[in-house]
Amino acid sequence: MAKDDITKSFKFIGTRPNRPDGFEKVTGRAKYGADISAVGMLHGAVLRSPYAHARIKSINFEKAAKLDGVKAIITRDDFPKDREGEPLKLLENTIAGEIAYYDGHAIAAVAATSVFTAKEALKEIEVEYEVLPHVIDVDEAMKPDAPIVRKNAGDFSVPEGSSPNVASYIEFGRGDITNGFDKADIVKSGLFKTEAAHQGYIEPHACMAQLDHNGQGEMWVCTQGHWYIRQMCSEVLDLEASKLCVTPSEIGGGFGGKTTIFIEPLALALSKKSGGRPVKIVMSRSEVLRATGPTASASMDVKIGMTKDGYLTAGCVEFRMQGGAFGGSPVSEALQCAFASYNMEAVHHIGFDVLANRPRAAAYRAPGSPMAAFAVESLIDEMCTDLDLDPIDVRLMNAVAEGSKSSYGPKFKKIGLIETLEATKEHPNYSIELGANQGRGVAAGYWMNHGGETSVSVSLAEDGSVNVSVGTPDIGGSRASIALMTAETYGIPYDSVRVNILETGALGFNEPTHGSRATLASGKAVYEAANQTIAEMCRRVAKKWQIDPDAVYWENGYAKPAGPNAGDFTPISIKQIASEMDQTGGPIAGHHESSIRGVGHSFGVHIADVEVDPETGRVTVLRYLVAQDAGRAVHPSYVEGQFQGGAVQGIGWALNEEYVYGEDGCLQNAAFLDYRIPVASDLPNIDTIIVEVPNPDHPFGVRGVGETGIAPPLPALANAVAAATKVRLRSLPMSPTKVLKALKTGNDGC
Amino acid sequence: MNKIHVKTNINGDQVEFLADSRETLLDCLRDHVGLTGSKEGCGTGDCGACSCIFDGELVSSCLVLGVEAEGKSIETIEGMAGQEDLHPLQKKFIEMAALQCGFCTPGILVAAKALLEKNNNPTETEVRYWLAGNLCRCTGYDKIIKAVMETAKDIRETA
Amino acid sequence: MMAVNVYLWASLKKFTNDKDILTIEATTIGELVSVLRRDFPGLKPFLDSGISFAINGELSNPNSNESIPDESEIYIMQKLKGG
Ligand code: FES
Ligand code: FES
Repeated sequence: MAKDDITKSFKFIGTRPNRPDGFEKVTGRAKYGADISAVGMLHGAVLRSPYAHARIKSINFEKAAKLDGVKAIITRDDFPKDREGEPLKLLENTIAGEIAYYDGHAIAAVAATSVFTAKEALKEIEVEYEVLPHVIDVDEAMKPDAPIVRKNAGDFSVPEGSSPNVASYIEFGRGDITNGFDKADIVKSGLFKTEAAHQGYIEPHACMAQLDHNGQGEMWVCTQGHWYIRQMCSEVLDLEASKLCVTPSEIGGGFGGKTTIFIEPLALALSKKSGGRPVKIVMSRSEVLRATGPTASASMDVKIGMTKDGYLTAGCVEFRMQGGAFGGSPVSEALQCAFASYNMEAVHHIGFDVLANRPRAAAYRAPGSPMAAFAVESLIDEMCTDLDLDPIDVRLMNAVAEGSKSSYGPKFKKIGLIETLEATKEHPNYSIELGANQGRGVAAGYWMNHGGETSVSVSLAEDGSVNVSVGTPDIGGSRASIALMTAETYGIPYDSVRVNILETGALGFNEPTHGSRATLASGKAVYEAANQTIAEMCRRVAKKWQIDPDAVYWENGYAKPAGPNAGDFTPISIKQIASEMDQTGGPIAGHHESSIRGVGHSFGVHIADVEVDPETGRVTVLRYLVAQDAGRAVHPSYVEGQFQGGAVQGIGWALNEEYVYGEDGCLQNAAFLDYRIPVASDLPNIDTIIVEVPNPDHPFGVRGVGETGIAPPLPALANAVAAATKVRLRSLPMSPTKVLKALKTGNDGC
Repeated sequence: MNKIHVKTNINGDQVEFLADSRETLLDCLRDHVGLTGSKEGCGTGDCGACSCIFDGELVSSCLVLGVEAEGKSIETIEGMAGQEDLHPLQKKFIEMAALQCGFCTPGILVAAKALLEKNNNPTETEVRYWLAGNLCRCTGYDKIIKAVMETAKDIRETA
Repeated sequence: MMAVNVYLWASLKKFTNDKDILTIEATTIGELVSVLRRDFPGLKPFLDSGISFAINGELSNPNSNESIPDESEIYIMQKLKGG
């Protein structure tokens, strides 16, 4: 039987039950990062650099230490001196050593008996700075005479003669580029720019940590991945990993920004210095914006060749991305995504990871893909307009399919881009008539998805209900999807499954809920673990019936004799097997741990309709459609939710959101009032089409759906604005001022 | 620092606590009364995660001082469900998957309840503008708006 | 011994005598990596920097025990970040 035939006959998968943690979350009972306190707990606060780049000449905290209620003050001196490589970068970003590299860089931290005392103490710490020249813009940082962010930061890959701020260089491609462009009827190129955007989770980072003098500690923290927190904190503080037990709180959004450490080592170090008292640190929103997250800013050159009927013949990109003072922009991911949707004989990619005096970029939903999509999908749209071709048809002509060689090399297995394009083309939104000042934009997007290290366990309760233990925090309904897959595997009711998210001591290493992997990877692992218990149940029943275990099979929650030859036995339910466990050999449990393989790539296509006010330059989104291949939607409501949430983050990035720096290199919009994420009144409903081309390498056909959705909105909106105004913006965000200027002068914003 | 004795009514219960005069109502609810359902997303009145009802008015509790609660009556997310059952909005939010991470949810529910008590027949635009002060980063608002509209419909039908 | 084709990003050619496709005899990822380390010492920092593999189109974390079918196409890429 083909996989697709199996996967169509699901009983639970594809239904929309209430999420198991719904009650706690609508009643205010769910405990997030800042919601926990402990007896004797101290409050931590962090002193941050007011300069974009400065040498720290001295720190004097004598006065601060004398304040009543101040229990500990730490600086870089309280951390190990011998770290190198990535742990050193993590440490440097956690707390500055000799140099503060960006506005908001942590300099010192205080633990006191109240938040107010801790904050007063910060004011009493005297820091002498020597201000150094700074650089913020990526193209400025690439210049040979740019201020140097960190000396000798370039790695083995950097070509000779590059700017000292180039941290790494990457180049790949295939085919004969010159020949490819020769075959084209038109060749077009352009420079595109995007500003840094923040993940913007509504819950600020928060943790409560306790560490004793023997290096044994505990932490409660809002994070996407508590094993990452354990690993990074241990590396930074030189602790033995297993001695640190990290428990994840409920998490109020992450989008990639909560896959690394910021305040966590500070809380541990403060606890240790104050004699092992628990220390809680909660970031303010301005700290979140100044010192965590954001994604990279990008400057991108693209050149594409197309025949007059719309075939893509060749493409070149050069992406320069600034990922803060320590490098780590998602430039290689951006390059991998750039032409991934298309069959092109000749492609060439160049990327620079560039340092600047900004916070260290963290992952943000499909890292790199949105910028790449903006540049490439905008230029393709310009060419479709020049040649008067339908943008969906052009994408269909060039779309990758099973067996296509991806632009970055490996061949695709079964993928659903064509199905997704066809679904958008047929959707009524694509043929609604538009009025004056209105325009429609189409764009595609891609994310490769990720499996990753995963460890789960499954155990049978004495009444036949099932406990599932996973290590991937539930950020958007994954308890529900994992419970559905468990119910499907056993054939027991959804309500008989409880999914628990366990602390680091209880399971093997788990990568975070990132890379669209929670449902995909934990689901696959749970399927394996559940099948171990099913095999064990069948063995026990076989003993009871005194037949061969192979003659017992499992269906719909019952062990049954496999066919007439096995004998005539009444099927035995999971309930009965469980109730007899203690007399048939003891507890029944299964576990699975591996690096999960078999991820399925996910493609999406969006259609945006906008209206541009010629007086104010304001762009209003009239209608928005997301179509994406989910493989199989385990809980369709939460799949739609991922599509909608991703699209709206992309809309924010396209229209409003940006990091604004002053001449002094300090962030000027470190508040939600000025860093404006979309609000309800900015938006229409976000229509969705779930395309299901099952992933052949997943037991339930799942691909992973979280990330792709943020990429297409950037170009879809730029294309829609261009259609509405006949003016092309090649720089984001398309804020009213920028749009107005473009309308008046034709300036593309770059 | 001398603390101030505050006597107030929260979700129908008489409550007393000692507040530092600099503390917000949100701080007091969370740290002194143990009601951590109201969340702090910004502390500057921009996100709505701390929404509470203060003497009948919808407020951002991060912009109200704790000592102002003296003699007042306050409703928080913890007081929204009845003894027997969840509030219709709470039920609808779960049924329609109107929450992902759930961090904005308490504030949005409190704000939406305040809207429906004023107007049980709002247009979609009215709902979108009423909730414009409540940020949600996960959902794109679509399912939230639909859940509020559906609840309003149910309330009208059962009224 | 079985031979597999290893595709490297062009920017690494300077460490591999200007070749971006290498034919290497190896039956596991671990063997493959040690051959690369032995024959092209310049690749060390790259191999140490966190890499992932695509074996016949399947992306995965590095697992040195993973066996590679004969005539496989293997792409070595930087380890993926996810949001
Ligand atoms: S915390 Fe009060 S409005 Fe954001
Ligand atoms: S559900 Fe996460 S912020 Fe609204």
